[in-house]
Order: sequence, then C-alpha cells, then structure tokens
Amino acid sequence: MTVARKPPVPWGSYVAGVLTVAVLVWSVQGTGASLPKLIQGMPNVGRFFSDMLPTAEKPWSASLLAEIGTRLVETLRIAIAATIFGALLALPFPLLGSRTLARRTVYFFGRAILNFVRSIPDLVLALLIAIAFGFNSFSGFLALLLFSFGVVAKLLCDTVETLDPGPLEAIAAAGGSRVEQALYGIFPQVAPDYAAYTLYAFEINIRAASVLGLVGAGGIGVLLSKYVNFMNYGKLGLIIGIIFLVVIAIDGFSTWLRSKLV
Amino acid sequence: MAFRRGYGASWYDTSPGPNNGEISGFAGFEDSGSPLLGLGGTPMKPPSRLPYFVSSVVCGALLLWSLGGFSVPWTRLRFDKLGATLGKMFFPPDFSFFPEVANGLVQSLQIAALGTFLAALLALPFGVLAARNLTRSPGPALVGKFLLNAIRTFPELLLAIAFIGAVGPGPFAGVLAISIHSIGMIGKLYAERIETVDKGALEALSAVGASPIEIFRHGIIPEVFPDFLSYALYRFDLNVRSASVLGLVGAGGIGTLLELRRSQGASAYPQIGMILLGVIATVLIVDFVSAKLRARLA
Repeated sequence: MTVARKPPVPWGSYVAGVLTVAVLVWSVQGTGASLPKLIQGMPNVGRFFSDMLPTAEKPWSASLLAEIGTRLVETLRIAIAATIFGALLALPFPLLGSRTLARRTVYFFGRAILNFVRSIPDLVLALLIAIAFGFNSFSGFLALLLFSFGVVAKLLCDTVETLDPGPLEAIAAAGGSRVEQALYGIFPQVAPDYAAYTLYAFEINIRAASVLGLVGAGGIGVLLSKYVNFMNYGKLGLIIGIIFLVVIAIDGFSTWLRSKLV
Repeated sequence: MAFRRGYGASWYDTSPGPNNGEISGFAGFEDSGSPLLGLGGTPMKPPSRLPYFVSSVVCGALLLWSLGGFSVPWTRLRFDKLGATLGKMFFPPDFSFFPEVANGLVQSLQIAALGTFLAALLALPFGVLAARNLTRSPGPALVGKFLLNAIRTFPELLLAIAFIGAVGPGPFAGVLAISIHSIGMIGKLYAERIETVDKGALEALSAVGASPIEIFRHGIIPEVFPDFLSYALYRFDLNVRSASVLGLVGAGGIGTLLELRRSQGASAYPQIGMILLGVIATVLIVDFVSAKLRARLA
C-alpha cells in the first residue's frame, strides 16, 4: 500500500507572508495612501500632461525655450565632465579595491570607501557639497563626479576579480610589479567593460544632472525648482517632457554603443 | 644558459620586425621555430590601438566642450571652509534631533516598501508582455520592452512632481512615483527571467488544455517566484535611497526634514548632520539585510 506523502508545510513562507502584509498595512497608514484619493486626482495627472502642449492663448514663449535650451546644455556639460573625471579617477582603483591586485588589508579599506560613497544618495551628496562650496553648477559637477567614481570603481573592481589570472601570473613571474601587472595584464582585458561602465554611469548622470537643480546645484533642474515653487504645472510639464525626450535619446544611443562594446 | 640569455630580449614580441619573425640573439633556444609560441611563419599582429585612440580623442573633445560650461568658483573652493562645515555637521551631530530623524526615516522606509510592493505587482503584466518566449510573433515583446524602457527613463523625482499635482504634496505622491518608476526595472528583470523558463513544463500544460492564465500560474510562477522576490528586494534597496530624497520636492520622507533645515542656514548644520548620518546608516543597513535575504533566496 502506498501512502501519499504530503508536502511539508512551508511555515517559513507563511511567516514571511504575514510579515509582508503587516509591513504593507503599516506603510499604507504611514504614507496616507488611499485609492479614492488617487482616482480623484487622476484628472490632474491628465491635465499635467495636456498642459505641456501650447495653446493659442498661452503659446510657448521664445525666451522660455531659450532658457530651457541653455539649461539643457549646462546639464549635458555637467554630466559629461563629471562622468569622464569620475571614470578616470576610478581607473586605478582596482589596485585598492580588488582581491586580485590589492593586499587583504588594503582591499578591506578600498571596499569600505566604495560602499560608503555609494550609500549616499546623489542629491544628498550634491546638497552637502553645495552647502560647502556654494549653490552653483560646479557643486553639481563635484557631486556627480564622486557618484560616477563610485559606480565605475565598484563595477571595475568586480570585473577585475573575475579575470583570467594567467597574464598576471606571467607578468609577476617575469618580475613585474603590481602596477605593471595592472597595466599590461589587466587593463587590456577590462578596457571594453570599463568603457561600457563609463557609458552606464553617463546614463545615470544625465538623469541625476537633470534634477540636481532641485537642490540648487545647476542644470535644468533649476528651472524645475523655480516652477515647482510657482506651482506652474504647465511649464513644469513642458520641461519634464523635454528632459524625457533628451534622456531617452541619450539612453538609446548609449545602450547601442554598449552593445557594440561587449 | 640560452634561456637566461634570452630573458629580457624580445622573444615574445611578435610584431613584424626587420628579420621577419626570425629570432636574433636567441640561437640557443632550440624550439625557436615552434608554432605554439607563434614565432615561426607569419607573426601575429598586435591588437589595433585605433579604438583607444578614437575614444580618447572623442572623450577629450567632449571634456573640453563640457568644461567650457561652468566656471570653477576658485574663491569658494576653500577646503578649510568645507572642513568647518563638516565639523559643524558631524562633530558632533545634534543627537537630540534623533526622534524626528527616526520618524522621517520610518516614513521613507514605508514609502519604499509600499512603492516597491505595488511596482512588483504592476510589473507582472509588463514582464509577461515583454518576454519573447510566450508569443509566436515578436511584436508584443517589442512593445513591452519599449514601454518598460520609457518608464525607466522617466526620472523619479519628476514623476513625484507630477503626482504631487494629482494627490497633493505628501508621502502618498512619493509612493506613486516610486511604484511607477520601479516598474521599468523590475518588469525588465521579470521578462528576462521568464525568457529562461523551462519550455517543457509550458508545453505539457498547454498539451493538457491549460488556459494562458493557468499556464502562467502553474508553469511559470512556481519556477520564477524566488527570483522575482529577489528582484523586488534589490529594487527595495535602491528605492530606500530614492525615498530619502523625495522630500526635496515635497513627496514625503526624511527629505522633507532635510529641505526644511537646509533653508535655515548655518544654525541648522548639526541637525543636517544628524539627518545625513541617519540616511547613510539606514541605506547601509537595508543594503546589508537585503543582500543576506537575497543570498538565501538564490
């Protein structure tokens, strides 16, 4: 006679499920989330997007478009300069932050620095730097520089750790120093990945640079901040629409370029 | 010794030289013509340096152009002042401000939790739509991928501004912004995971006449569920960071406090320091816990 075996009762999953529901109920209370409020507000979202379009009585003024253009160029410049400098700064970092190239103690500190840098949200970083160095685009540049350094250095260190150690051992056997190992054994292997990570950081930076102005750190976000304060949702919608188009164009281009690299 | 004599010479240099690949000054090395070393016959070409050259020039040009955009405020770049500011913020921070900071942080965590949960649910149909292996024609997957990309591209803070217009300032707008924005990434990860699902189970289900929804429920969900959970947890990490800055545009959380204090000038620095410490500690703890949980799910 065979006895049908019952599957074991997944108590762990039940507990996790109950906990999740509890956290969600608590979050709904804490955030004042309510479906009726959302449904009531939906027409406003629609109006927000329809306000982007010009009408006969309120066409887009040339001066507004010119201002948007200038700020957009500033945004691009902040993102490009920050990405390139951040990536350059990250290039030697595997000497400190990868198990392959760094000694144990150095590695520990290198990784701690990276984790710390990446734990600070980019806007918070921008705000902190702006408080010290002034509310201008240079502060935004510094914040994004640090941020892209964190992203590229982390990804680069991870990649270096997965590399084929053959060339390194060959160079070490021939008496090459750690720097020489990095230069001739590692760099040629990671160069395409490095370029891809830099582009990836650039995609993030474009998005971040477009909202930096909300904390006064330059770029098109300065205009956003202005119209948020004026509650001018028509102009806000227009600017957000333009940012969206620019970001999606750059994203598409960068993704295509990355697919060529790796 | 032949080998020692050759050490440091260019025996490994495979570029075409005047001797056309013949090894000079290396007579003692018997195997010098071995094809294994690539020494005999046609020498190997070194990889082209053109990509390095072109990308360096492009980057250099972009850099020059972008640096023309903003003037360096040399007079403001005073590191003694940076030191003094940081000193006021963190040595020591205003610990008596902790209860308020804790409230803000809790609200940020709540925004992130609810936003991520909604996104994980809303992303399901998008993930199914964008998976290439569920339909015969490639059309739906392309549409799905495009939609997910568009959603991902829209910066979160801008969504928050849009939702503030709808439901008013406060944490609920933050929840909505996070739940919509996160669909982009979670949906993409879902689709990629569904594309690697075991085909046999799906075919077996459809062979016994299961409807598409039944196939999804019994053929896909059981296999992908742990991975889906782990994507949601990963996104939760990122959303905790986002939820800590949403307040800068009025969408609730600890950022509200930061926005309030930063307008008060130098007297509020110790409180700003406390806020920043709280944010960094929270992010690090959430990262750690989520990594542990995800390691258990995998």
